[in-house]
Amino acid sequence: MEIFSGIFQGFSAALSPYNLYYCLIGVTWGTIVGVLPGVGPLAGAVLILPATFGIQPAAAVIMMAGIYYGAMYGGSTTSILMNIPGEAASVVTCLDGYPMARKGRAGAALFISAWGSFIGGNLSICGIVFLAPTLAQFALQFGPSAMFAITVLAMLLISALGRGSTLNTMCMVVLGLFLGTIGMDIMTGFLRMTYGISELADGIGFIPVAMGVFGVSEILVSTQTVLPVVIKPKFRELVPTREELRRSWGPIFRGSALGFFIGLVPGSAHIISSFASYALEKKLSKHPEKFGTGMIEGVAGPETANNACTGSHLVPFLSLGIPTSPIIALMMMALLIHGVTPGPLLVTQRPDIFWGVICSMYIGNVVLVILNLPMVGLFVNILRIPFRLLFPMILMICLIGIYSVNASRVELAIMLISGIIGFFLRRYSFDCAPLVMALIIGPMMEIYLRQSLMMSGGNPLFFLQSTLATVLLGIAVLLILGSILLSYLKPQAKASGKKGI
Amino acid sequence: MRGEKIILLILIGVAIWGFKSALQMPIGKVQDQGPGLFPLVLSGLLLILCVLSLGLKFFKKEKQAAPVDWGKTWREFRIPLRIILLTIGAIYFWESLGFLIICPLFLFLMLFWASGFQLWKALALGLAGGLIGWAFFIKLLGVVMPRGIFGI
Repeated sequence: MEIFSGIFQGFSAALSPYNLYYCLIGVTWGTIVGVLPGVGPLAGAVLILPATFGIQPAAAVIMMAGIYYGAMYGGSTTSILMNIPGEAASVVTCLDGYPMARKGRAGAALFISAWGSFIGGNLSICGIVFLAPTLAQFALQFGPSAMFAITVLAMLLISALGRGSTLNTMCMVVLGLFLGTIGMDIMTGFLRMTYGISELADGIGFIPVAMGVFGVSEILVSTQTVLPVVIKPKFRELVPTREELRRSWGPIFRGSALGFFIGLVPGSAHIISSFASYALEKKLSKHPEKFGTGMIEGVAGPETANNACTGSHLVPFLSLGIPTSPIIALMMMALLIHGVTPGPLLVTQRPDIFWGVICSMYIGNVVLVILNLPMVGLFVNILRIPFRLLFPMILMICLIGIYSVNASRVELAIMLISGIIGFFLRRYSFDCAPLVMALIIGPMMEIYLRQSLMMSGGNPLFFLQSTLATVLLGIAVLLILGSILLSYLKPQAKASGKKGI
Repeated sequence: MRGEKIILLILIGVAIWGFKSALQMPIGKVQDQGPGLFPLVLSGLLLILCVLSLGLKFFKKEKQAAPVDWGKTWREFRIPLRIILLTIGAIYFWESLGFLIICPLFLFLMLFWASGFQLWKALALGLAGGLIGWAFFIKLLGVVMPRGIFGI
């Protein structure tokens, strides 16, 4: 009953003209940044962050969430029309989406992608309606030892599921945790590694680092690539055939379930869910050899899984206050700026925000389906704007955005330095997202650890006194052992000639 | 692979620096940790992971790395380098010149030197961009930007 009264309250908040207006801005801007190669959802969210300062916190998070799932919709457009993923999770859509476009079925691919995303997104939201409040209630019983175990598990999952080598990803995680210690120690007031720079007393800001690593480095990388010709579908070609619709239903429902469960895990869940869905559809197909030549299942499944992930990825954030990806960390920042602390108490203290965000996602998904299909022509024209014209403006907006937060040139410098570092890390196959995630989770982890050890008088076995902490730390140990075993088995599998997707 | 090793070496340097810095802070005891203990542990862990990763790469059999083509490298890095230099300049003069001068100047130099537009096109687009930026961010959104020495 509480859930239903919460949903009613949420829809009342989400359907208010004020919140609806910001939802529309968020999904539109999210779709545009998803379409534009060179500007990811995180960069898009940071660019619009200054606009959230003067608005209500619920509207700020609704707008950020709109950018988040809007970018997932928009990312598939460039994958299908240009064979370039608009954002990382749409890589798989290129495999069959672009061949479909070359066969003159771009419209059908776009339609199925939007339709699958809509269904996956809505089913995922149904899941979080029941899961998030239950988990939040359960989380109220967590002590610092359990919270420490959760942060350790989150970091290990991000390491294990990151792109590239696990060892390199772990280096990025630990580097992020270490950089998170720079600044004033909350417990003692001691200034750590600030070297007299007063702006560093609050630590290295997440926003300038995220903007640098994802925004500036993306621009530096994109100037080195040449963008191909865009295929423009006609409006009447948007309707798929009956056969295509019939073949899409199975992948859509399977993708929804797969995406939802994978999305509960922190880290690169979007990328993993889309690849996992593609692999599953190929395995279940009667014609697996045709994958890569324009199979509708290869578009429907991954795009649905990608969007289904979006809802469940918000569960740890809404119920535990743990961000599971950089863009969710930014939503957390937006709430903190407004003096709202996300966590288990959010559902009781600020139900308007908690339920408002969830219900706005239903509305946002409807808006996105309406927006994406008829406006595909507009998005194609946006894609035609030469990148060499766009990037100076994007860079200028980045500078304005960062300066507007704290009026600090030091933060502009941090953004640029992070951008340069991100450029080289990406060039040499280091995953930057774990570094950014660790920067924000690290201070939390330290506080929980120190509180636990203070309460136990320095006894490390204190963690084993909590059942939940024991279970979570046990999973963490198994994860480390599993990663080591997998890295040992992988070269042997390659040697025996086994093939992946 | 060469670049990966260089990055790992840099990270080892960062870890050593962090370790030294953490040792200069109060470490405290396990039940009453000082500010230096957590950074000490993390920098030590970073050092171990980087050395392990680097060690595995040295032991791994790989093809002989091709000699560095400096001309190709310069062509690849030329535009990113220009972007970085112009951004450094913009940050340095951000507060002294003020937003109304920096914005069109930055856009003009980017469009001309980094993007390769013709001089007059870059000038026109830079001025237009600067004006739109001022109207949108300062007037419409009310974002506070520096006025610079000219007070505009």
